[in-house]
Amino acid sequence: MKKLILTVPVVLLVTILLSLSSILDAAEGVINGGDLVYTKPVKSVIFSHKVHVEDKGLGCAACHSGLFDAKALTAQGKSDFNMDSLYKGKYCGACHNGKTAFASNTQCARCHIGVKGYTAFKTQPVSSQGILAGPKQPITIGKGDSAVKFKHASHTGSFGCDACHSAIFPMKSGKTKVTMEPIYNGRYCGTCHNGKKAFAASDCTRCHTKTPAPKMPLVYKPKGAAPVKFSHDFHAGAFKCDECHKKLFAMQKNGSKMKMDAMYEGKFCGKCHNGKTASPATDCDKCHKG
Amino acid sequence: MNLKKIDLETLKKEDHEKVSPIERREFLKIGLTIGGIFAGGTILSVVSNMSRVFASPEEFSEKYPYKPHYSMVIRQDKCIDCERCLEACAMTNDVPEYGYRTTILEKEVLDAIGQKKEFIPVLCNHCNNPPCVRACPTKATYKDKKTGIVMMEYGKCIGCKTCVVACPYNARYFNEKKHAIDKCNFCFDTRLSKGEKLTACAAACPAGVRIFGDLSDANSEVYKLIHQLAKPVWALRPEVGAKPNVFYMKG
Repeated sequence: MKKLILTVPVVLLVTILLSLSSILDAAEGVINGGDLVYTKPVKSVIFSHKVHVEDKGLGCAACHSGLFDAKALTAQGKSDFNMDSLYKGKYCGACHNGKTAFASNTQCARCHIGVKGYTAFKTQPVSSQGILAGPKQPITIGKGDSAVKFKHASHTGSFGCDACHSAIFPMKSGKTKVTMEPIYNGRYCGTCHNGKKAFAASDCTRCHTKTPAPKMPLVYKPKGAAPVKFSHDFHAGAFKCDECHKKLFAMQKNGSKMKMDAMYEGKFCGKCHNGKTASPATDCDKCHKG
Repeated sequence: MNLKKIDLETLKKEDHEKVSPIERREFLKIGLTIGGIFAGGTILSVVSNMSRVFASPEEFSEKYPYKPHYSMVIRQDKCIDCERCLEACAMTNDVPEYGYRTTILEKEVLDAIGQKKEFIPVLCNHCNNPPCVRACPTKATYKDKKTGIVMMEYGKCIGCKTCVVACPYNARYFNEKKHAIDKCNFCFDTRLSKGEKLTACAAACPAGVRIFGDLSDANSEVYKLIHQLAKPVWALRPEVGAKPNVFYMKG
């Protein structure tokens, strides 16, 4: 039996190196983290994301790259989160040192809003204290029809920023080259999207909404037999991606060395084309046309 | 804090260099009679906002011979309204929710550059010339002869609330449980008489706002803070003439 060489005109989901193409400009179009009110070690200190992000134009990474965890208010759980640390240049003190911004041992009540401020903050409508974060617009991963639009909003409802940042995804555009292989191996999106914590990454169309399957048929040209046109369009209408991929067919050009003998034994196309589920593989000219 | 007591003889300021020490002294005496703003009328303004001086501490201690002369300096700009002082006060002195012995006022300064809010802790000023004591018909409230603390004798109080009206600092409330007026007494019964050096509020303050001590002791921090010249010190509502023992400053 001749080797069938797979030619995949539009290789999707696997081999394209997906890149985070959208530029994350922190100062633009970002839902900032809202107002945070720290209650420890004293009640209470306000931090306004708006002032720092929108008014001062600081990017997320200015603070969320070592200075502060991305999850709100984690700093106040640490024992060294106090004024002495600030004076030594930790936390807020990294900028509030009298050079970059006003010194942290001056203008106490500019940040310390006190119990009165805390009470006023708590009586605000919830929406204005929202601790949603991330860019408003979806992050586009990859290019063309196979691109995935990641929406921060649908994830930040259940998770803090630090669930993904920066251990899984650095907060820098284009930094992460996401491909499916590592996702299946439990990296990137696959950390959660493993069928246990969240829907499995093999549920392709949940993310790759635009192009569930290539429109163009795959053409196999075996030696000594008529070519075979495999219509993804037709099959994807009836089956999900993961019913064939990757247990029957690798999602890679020339990935599956198909032979007719194997098909008769129920492998490759023979899994369905066995005369029961679909037409038998022995029905040669059903596929080998021309 | 570097606090230096500045000798008037060596004090140098532009515009004043030609003024002889004798003239300066005359000026102080005039100020003493005209000003009479602060404790005992002996703190007065020498150069408008630049510095304030006790003309003669000896004279002051003669007129108000309290020993110890309890006093408090409030470093106003350090207050962050954490209200630990209020909690400590309420716990120590069994203050109900509807009243207070000390509280924190809030002042918005909208046209300020930077910090637009100030917190001002207030309490009984333990005035040297207390209007409440004069107003009390039963002598239930009195100025303690030893310490200068304005105290209450709850049994004598008939709850007429005249003192509440008379107090220029709004430092008194009617305690229903005691069925008497209650007020700050610098924690005299609960702490000072038991050997503690600080009031509950001063001990609880994490920011060093409330400096409590003995004004008759030249080595105490309150004395040094009030007598330094670098930063202005003021009292609340000086026009009332109550001559308070609670002072305010920044820095």
